[in-house]
Amino acid sequence: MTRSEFILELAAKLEGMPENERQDALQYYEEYFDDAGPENEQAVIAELKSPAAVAARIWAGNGGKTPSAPSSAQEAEASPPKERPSAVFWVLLCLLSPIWGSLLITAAAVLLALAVTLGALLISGLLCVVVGLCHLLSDPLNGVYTFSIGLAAIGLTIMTVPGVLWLVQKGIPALPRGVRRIWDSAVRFAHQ
Amino acid sequence: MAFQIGSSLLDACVLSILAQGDAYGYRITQQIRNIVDISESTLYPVLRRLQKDGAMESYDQPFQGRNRRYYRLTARGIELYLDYQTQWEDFKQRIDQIILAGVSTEGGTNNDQK
Repeated sequence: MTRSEFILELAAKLEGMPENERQDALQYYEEYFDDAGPENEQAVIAELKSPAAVAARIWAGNGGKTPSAPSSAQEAEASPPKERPSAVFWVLLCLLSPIWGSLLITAAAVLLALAVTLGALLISGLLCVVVGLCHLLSDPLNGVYTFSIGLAAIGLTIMTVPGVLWLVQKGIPALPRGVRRIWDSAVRFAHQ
Repeated sequence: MAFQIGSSLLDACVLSILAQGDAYGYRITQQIRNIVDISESTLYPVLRRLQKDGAMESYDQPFQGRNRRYYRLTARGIELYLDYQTQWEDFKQRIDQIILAGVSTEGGTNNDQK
């Protein structure tokens, strides 16, 4: 085996590694041969054993983590690259978008409806109070009736204040946290 | 040699060599190989790991019409090197206490392991 054959085979064995790391490793061994000099080329190749052995060490990425015994046991198969969120995960995410998308929209719609309802209740309550007061002299009975309905509406709105406050204080900060937790578990699921 | 050099010890050796001055891969390998028996393919992953850990950085320098990649210690690397030094002293003494327990201590320890 010659030097260039060695480097070529090593390059092939490092396929799948991030390109810059691969280039870095290849450059290192190119330089190593350069520094050893052409007269030592065969000695270096013999010492390095095989491109597969060198690649296995680089893939393992732990250098001397395993004691550097002169055994051939370390020339095991190159370990596969570290897992990243797989393509399957992204495809699933897209395919399932009708489900989680509509759920999200529903939740937003419910919140919006609640807000509109509360707003309407408050406005109509205020209007009734004003109208009732205006009619108090000309038509006392209907005036008092309208006025009391207005008060009841305002009262109902006020009763929801603690709930709304809780939603604003706890719910809104919780939203991103919840989304992240869902995301994390989805990623973990995709890894399995 | 009956004793093998482990990961931390190899790290310490590399850091110590670089503490004497910047060096390139082949030179570091040969310097270590002069003293302990390591495979030539062992060192690249070690250098890469130390670099990733921020203990050292690399720079290219032209040499005879080609590039040579030199490594130098970072501040963190120097810190690590000093830490390894004290830990090594400690470790050496402990092992001496066991292995050289029977050897008289006159004139220091004279350990020739075959």
